Formats: sequence, C-alpha cells, structure tokens
Amino acid sequence: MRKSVISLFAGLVLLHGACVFAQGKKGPPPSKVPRGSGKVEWGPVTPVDSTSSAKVRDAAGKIDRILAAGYARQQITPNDMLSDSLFCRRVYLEIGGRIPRLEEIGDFVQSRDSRKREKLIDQLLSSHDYVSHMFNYWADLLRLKDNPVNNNQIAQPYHEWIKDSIRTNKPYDKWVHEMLTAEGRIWDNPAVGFAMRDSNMELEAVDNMVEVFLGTQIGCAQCHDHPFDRWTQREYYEMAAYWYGTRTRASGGDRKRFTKGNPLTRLRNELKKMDPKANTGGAFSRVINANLFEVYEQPRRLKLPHDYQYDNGKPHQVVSMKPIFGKADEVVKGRSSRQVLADWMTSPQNPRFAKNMANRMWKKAFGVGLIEPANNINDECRPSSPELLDFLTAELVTSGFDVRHLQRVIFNTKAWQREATAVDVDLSQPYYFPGPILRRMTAEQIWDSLLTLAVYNPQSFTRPSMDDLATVVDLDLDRVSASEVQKVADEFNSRFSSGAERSLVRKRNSYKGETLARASELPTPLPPDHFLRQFGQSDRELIEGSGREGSVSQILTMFNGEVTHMMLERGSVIYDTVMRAPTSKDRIDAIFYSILTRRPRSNEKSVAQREINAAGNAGYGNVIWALINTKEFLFIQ
Amino acid sequence: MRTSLPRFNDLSRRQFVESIARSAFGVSILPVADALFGAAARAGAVNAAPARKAEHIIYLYMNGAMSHIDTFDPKPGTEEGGETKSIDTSVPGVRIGEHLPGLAQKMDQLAVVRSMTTETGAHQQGQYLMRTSYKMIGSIRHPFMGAWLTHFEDKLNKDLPGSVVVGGGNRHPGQGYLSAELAPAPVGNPATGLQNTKPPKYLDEGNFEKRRRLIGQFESGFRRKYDTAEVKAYADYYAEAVRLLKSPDLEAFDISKEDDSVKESYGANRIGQGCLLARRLVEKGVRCVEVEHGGWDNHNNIYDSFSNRAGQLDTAIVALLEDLQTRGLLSKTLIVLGTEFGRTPKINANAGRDHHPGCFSALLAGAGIRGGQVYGSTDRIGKSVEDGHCYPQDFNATIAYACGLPLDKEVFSPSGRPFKVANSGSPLKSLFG
Repeated sequence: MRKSVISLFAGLVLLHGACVFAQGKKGPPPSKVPRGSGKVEWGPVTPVDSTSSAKVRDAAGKIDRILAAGYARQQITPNDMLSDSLFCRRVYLEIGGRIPRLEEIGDFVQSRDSRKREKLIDQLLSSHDYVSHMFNYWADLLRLKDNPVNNNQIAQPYHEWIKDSIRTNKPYDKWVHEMLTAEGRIWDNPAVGFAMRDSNMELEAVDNMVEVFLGTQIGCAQCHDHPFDRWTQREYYEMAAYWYGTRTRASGGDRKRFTKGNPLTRLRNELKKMDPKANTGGAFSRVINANLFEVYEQPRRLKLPHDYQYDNGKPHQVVSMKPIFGKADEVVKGRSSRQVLADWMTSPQNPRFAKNMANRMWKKAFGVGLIEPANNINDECRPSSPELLDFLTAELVTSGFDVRHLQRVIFNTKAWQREATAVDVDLSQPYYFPGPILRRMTAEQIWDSLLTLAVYNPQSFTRPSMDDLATVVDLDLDRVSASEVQKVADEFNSRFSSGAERSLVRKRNSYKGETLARASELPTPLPPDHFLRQFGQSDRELIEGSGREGSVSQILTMFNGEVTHMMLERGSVIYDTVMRAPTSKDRIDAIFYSILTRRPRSNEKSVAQREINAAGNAGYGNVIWALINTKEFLFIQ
Repeated sequence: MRTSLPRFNDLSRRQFVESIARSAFGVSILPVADALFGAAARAGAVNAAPARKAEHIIYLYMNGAMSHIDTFDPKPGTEEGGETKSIDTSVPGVRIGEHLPGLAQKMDQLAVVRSMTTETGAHQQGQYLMRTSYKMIGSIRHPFMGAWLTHFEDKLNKDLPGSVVVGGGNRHPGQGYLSAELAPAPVGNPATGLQNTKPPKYLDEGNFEKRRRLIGQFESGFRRKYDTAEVKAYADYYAEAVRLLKSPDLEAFDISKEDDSVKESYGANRIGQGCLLARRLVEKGVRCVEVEHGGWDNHNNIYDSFSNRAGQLDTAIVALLEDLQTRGLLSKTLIVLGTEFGRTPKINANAGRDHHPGCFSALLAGAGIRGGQVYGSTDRIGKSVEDGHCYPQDFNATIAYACGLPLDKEVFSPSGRPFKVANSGSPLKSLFG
C-alpha cells in the first residue's frame, strides 16, 4: 500500500498538450476557473493548546470507557476503526467542512508519527477551514440573514463578528452573554445583530433563544399552556418579560434626540427642496434607516394577552420577570433586565446551558445526540448515557466553556474514529454509539468539497469585509444635511451594497455566473435555486432549518450543473492533478484519492482503465464525473 | 396508521423524514408518507367539494403588495383614487381600473374579492400569511397551497414535479413541515426552464448512459456495505431524475416550443412567459404552478410605471384564460391572483402609496368559479372593508375548497402540532356554482 501511495503523491512532471476532458473540444482554451491567491483575509486562528494533549487523551479515554461499559451491557460490538485514509476524509469534513486535497491525504497517510491522528485534529481545529465550517453550523442555528427583518438592516458586521468569535475561540458563555446584552449600532457593537434578528418580535425572540441555548421548546406556551411539556403560558410571559424592553430601532419622533424633528422626514423634505426629482428612497433612505437601527433597552411592562384563559392571571395583567427554571437576580438600578437574563442563562449553575451545548456538539460529531431530539430537552428526558452527558457537560464547564476543547476531546475518542454504522438506526430507540451514524454531507460540505476539487485556494475568496462600514455610514442624524447623506449614500452604494459585492465577485471569483467561494462567504440566505439551497441549506427562517434529504433537483444539479462541469476544465485542481501524473494508473489513483479519499479497488481500476483506453482523455472526465455522482461521495462513512 | 402518529411527536422534522425513509425499503419515500397522512386525510373529508373539483392551481402572486385602488377596486372622483380612472366591464355595473382593459372584457369569467384584509403590513410576514394561512414563527414552517394539494392528491404526471414555483424569491415557505418530496421545483426564469435538465453539448445520450453505468460500477462496494434506507432513497432519486430527463414531458418546461404567435399573445415579459409556462405545465399534469410577479411596492411615483406593469399582467391573464379555455383546461384549473396586502388610499409625499393591510383585492377564475361576481366591498376611499371581510385564511379555504381538500382535517407536524390546510378559514362558497 505505502509504496504505490508514495509514487502517486510524489508530485510530478507537467505534461504538455493537455486538452479538456470533455469530449469534442479542440485545443487548449484559456482556463476560466478562477484561482485564489492563497492569502486568507481573516486574522490568525488561535491555535489549540498543544500542552494539554495528555489531558485531552485522558478525557477521550474516559468517554471510551463509559461507552465500552454500554457496549458490554447492551452486548454490542463496536464498529471497526477507520482506515487512515477514511479517517482523513472524515476529519477534514467534520472539522474543516470539506474533503482533503490530494497532497493533504498524502501528508497524512505517509506519516509514520504514532500521534498523527491527534495532530491532524489539532491542526484542523486551528485552521480557517474550521472557522468556516463552524460558521455554517451557527448560521443555521442563529438563522443568520444579511438583511434580517427589514431590508434596511445591515447584519454582515454581526456575521463577521461571529467568525471572529470562532477564530479567537471566545469562551461560549462569554460569547452568548455578549449577544444577549449588546447595545448600540451594528458597526459599533456587532453583537447587537443577535437582537436585530428578531426585531419587533420580542416574544418570539425568547422562544428562539431558549431553543438555541437551552435546547428547550417553550414556543407552544406563547399562546396556550404547553400540551406536551410543563410550561404554562404565564411562565412564558414571565420569561419573555426580560426581553420585552429590547428595542432595535430608535424612534424618529424622539424629540430629545432629534431636536429638528424626525430625521427621515426632515432629510427627505430637504432633498426634495434641493431637487424635486431626486429619489428619496433607495440608498438615501437606506443609510438614514441604517443609522436608526440600534439596540437599546426601554423599560416596558409585558401584559398577559387579551384572551388569557387561565385562572392564574387575568387578561392584560402585567407579569413580573421570572426565568423558566431556577433563580435569577433581581433587576435593580444600573443592571438591565437583559444583563440579569444573560447572567442566568450563561451561568454554570444553569442546568441546561452547558448540557445543551455538550449534547449539540456530541450530536454534531456522531449524528445522534445523547438526548434526542436535541432541541427538545425536558424534565422527562433520559439521555442514552447520563454518565456520558454529565461528563461532557462538566468538561465544557471546567474548560471555561471552551467548545473547541470539547470537540477536540470528542474527536479523539476511539468511538468517533470508528466506521459509520452500516445498518438503519431506529431513532425511537436509544443509540449506544458503536460509531457515528452514516450521514449525507451537509449542503455546505458538498459545495466546499466540490470547490476543493475545482478551485485553487477557495479560502482566499472571503466575503468583502465591512470593517470600514462605520467610517462611511455613521451619521449624526440630528445635524447631517441632505447633501451629506447623498454623498454617504453614494459611497455606501459603491462599497457596501450587494451590487458592489457582485461586481467585485464577478471580476475575482465567478464562473459562468456562479460565485465560487466557500459557503460561509456567500450571501445569506441564498435564492432557492442555488446549489446550496437545493442540497438543503437553510433559508434562515427556522432554527436548524437545514436538511440532508435528497431530491430530484439535487441529482440534476450533480449531473448537469456548472460546478460539476467546471471540474472537467483545464485549470481546475483535479484536471491539473490528473494531467501531472505520469501514467494512466497514477492518474486513476489520483482521481480516486482526490474524490473519494481512497485508492481504487482492483475491479474499479480495470473499469476505469477500460474507459480511458476507449475514450482517451475524455475517459478521465467520465471517470471523474461518475465518481462525483456516486453515493459514496455524498455520504460520510 | 393514524394511531402511529403521536410516536413522531418527539422527533425533529429531519429525523421524522429520515425515519420514514428508513421504513420505505428502497422505494421512493412518497408512498409511505402518503399512507401516513394522505389516506387518513381523505377519509376525514368533511367540507364537501364543489360539483367540479379543481385539479390544478395556477397562482399568480403579486410580490410587493399590489395597489387595490389602481386595479380591482378603483375609486374615481376621490382624491384617494389618484390618476387611475375606472372602466366598464363585460358585466353591467361592475367597473375596474383602466390599466386592466383586457380583464374588464373577461369580467364575466372572473370573481373579484374586494374585501381582503390582513393583520400585518410587513411584506415577509404578509406573504407568509397569504401563502400558508398561518403567522410566521421561528419554530415551524407551514406548507404553501401547492404542497397541500400534492399532499392530499396524487401526482397526475409521475415524471414531472407536483408543483413548480416560477420566479420565486427566497422567502417562499415551500412544502413547510411536509415531506421534502413535496417541495416545489423552482424555476428562476421561465425562458430557461427547469434548472440543470440540459446536458452540456458534448454529452450525448450514449455517453450519458456510459457515465451512468460507471456510477453503478464505482459505487457497488459502498452500496453493498451501506445498504440503508437513506442510501436507497438516494438511488430512487437518481432513477427519478433519469426518468425526468428522458421523459418527453420534460419539454413542458421549454416555452421555446410554442409558436411565436402564442408567445406574443402572452407578452414578451416575465409574467407573460411565466403564465405560458404555467399553462404548458398544467397541460402535462403538474398540479400547482405559482408565478411570482414583482414590482408592486410602489412607495414612489406610482404612476410612472403602473400602467405598464398592470398592462403586462392584463395581457398575460387574458391570454392564459383564453388558452386554457381553448384547450379544455379552464374548467379544471383554478386561476388565483393574490398579494400580501393593499396600498394606502392617501398618496404620499413621493407620489407613491404605502403599505395598507386594512383592505386589498384578489381574483379567482376557472374551475368551479361563477364569473361576473364581485365579493365584498370597501368604503368610499378604499381604506377599510365595509362588507364581507375575507382574511387570508378564508381566501385559502376557498382555494382548498375548490380543490376538494379536507379543510377540517388536522395534519400533525413532526413536532406533534396540529395544523389545517387553511387554518380554519371559511371558504367563500358563494363564489362557486
């Protein structure tokens, strides 16, 4: 095995006279496949703590012992350990969100280091790939949208801030606390994007945050006592009272602030006077409105609804603030209700905050949570292994809410490094984790993997940053003149509008109208006919709105879509890789490793060889196309 | 099967669908989902359908909130009526806005609802309510009418998708919590048809077959090892995709097959071509086609472009009505025109109209609908409904009723919550017959 691998990964002479794999074309056309520079415009990723490797190993060992006791009790044989190459595939997909490149597979498979798995996990957890992949995960949970509720809202600084929080490995409790308490405008404090996402939906906002951060569903109780859980409508209102004063837009009619009257009206009138034909909508109104969006707290008393039907309160009765379980501090002067809420939420004493995250990270790794469904934890839930969930929860808390540390531990377990379970898993029964379950890749994993096969350095195509937004768009709305607003609007349009982004992308990284960039660097939500949406990326309306189900349109996209065919063009990574390999045998090996991260079996070799003998260079294209269209490519073994 | 539903109460949507897929033994997961919901649902029908059930829906959705005062509910002689004059129609005593001269001549085939009213003046929330009959919330997604229709009724053409959304934006609720199988197929541009159905030029049929054989040979090892329902379900999608690609009915998506004269009669624009595509799809058995038509959010200078935009719509619907009639499809196809809310009677400082949820207009024609009717009325200036309040739920109940769908049937979401096709709305039965 090793020998043939070495000959393949050795890296080779460039062949001349290469032509496209697609049949019927003559001569080498200029490559239309864009190339990344290799530079990534994000700051460095905080590396994992290499001194704690022994501790991580201990913790992983402990988990394996807990699971082994379960295997023994249930008389289960755990799955086989993954081969090096399939481990390599899974670890790149589940930490980095993409398949490994040929040379990355080579580096790993050829290494004789006995700790090479551990080291690759650490390396990937410290990479930009990880930031990109985890951003996709959070975008799904937090329903990230470029223009959340109102088209004039700008949310990208918040999305960049989330990437930064992942990149710098900000402690999870601190991160959530910042989101729950942030005030100001989005370019001053991007964490306000969290509150902006549910602008003017204070009741729903609480339902959403409880589901995301506590894995608990209280939504039913917004309108009536919860039919399947213990929550009453009154408890829902008491909890929501903490958030009810959260405002997301300054009132134009605020006389103290806007001494010359509502700035929107004033500036529109001023502009009309200057030029009766000027457009007071569009970017002009957008930059004014963008300046009005800010998060602040305005004490407001929440009342029970007009149709309240239970004995423990009356319609329109004011409710006091009270968390859905446990105790919270009193709201006193100098400490806002959201600060009290955030303290309660993120406290290590909160029985569900850390547990929810531990369960979510376990589920993310294995495909099944210790509590299922992971978004519906309730008092009656019995984890499939309470001991394991408690251990993971404690590990998260004692590490200082270091989510990446918890992942590092999980990925170092034997259990996670086993093959995926090859039979149907009945989700109504507890699962004892003989290995992860077989899952289709997420939409983002598929897209980012195809990009890996096609484009050099796709990570370089980061979304244009909004770092300078404040310097352009920040206005003193009470003083600014209409002509100044017009200037700002023009600059905003040329630098930060979606049109500006499109024109940059068109020059830099598009192929036949398709923007080639990692999923984390594309607008959100994408239109329903986009590749990513076809494969189940969320439209960002529902928490965890993404799906992994198949559909006919996915298959059509894989058969005939631009991205598939781009792969067969000169200048794509896989094209070049194949053409660099000296013999057809090496080329076939290179294709199989590049796409499926494994060597071809002998019968596959002869099938591929026959095809290439028959069709010449186009045969390579057919083999590549066919492999990308296998289920083996789509599923993570 | 009904008693087994509560078992799914605790499962998330994805697990639910996965668990269906797993019990499906390699056949497409639809039949099982149908057995779970469809049969029980059909048994529970209470609200009897009109004499002739609509088999298809063509829903023209006016994105951005179309002004009622400048279309179906003109207010000439008032300041609020703006520049729009009213014109006579083929039905004595009924007048509509001058921008719709073709529809005025077809009034005897149309039922106009002037008393639509809704609870929100925000586009996204309003569109969601209009399409699903439910308020938009973060914890559940409700299905649009096309998904309900294909949920309750079998496909008429096994090769083509059950429902199609033409020119759809981001915010379409799609199949909601129902099976992913019922997701509408999106067509971005009616002129380019269904995405990715055209292979690259070099890929002839023989070559395509060869590639398919290669797939089978390369994945046989994986298939043997991972013989799970999910993997098998994917194999079924492959088979379906190939069937679709080889189906002669795929041509339904290609409006270039129409004569130029037909294309011209619909109008050489998005809404016209969208309506033409809708007719072609319905003709080949697609159950529901939604065509979106934007540009109605006229906050500024409403009369600069209104006549043109409404004129395109007018031409398109008239052509659609005539074409469907000629082909004998009008009696089984319900044509719907809807929007999320109306626009303010008062014309604002920018010579436009703002959002107005208080009242707006909608239109129904075709299967089962008695033409020449105006349902409900608004006050002198088009500000509030005076008579016959019709909420989005009632409007959707009317559509569902026309198709004979069970309005009282509760269909459980994977989270165990019961929902109905039109959220307990009451159909406007007087429009039928």
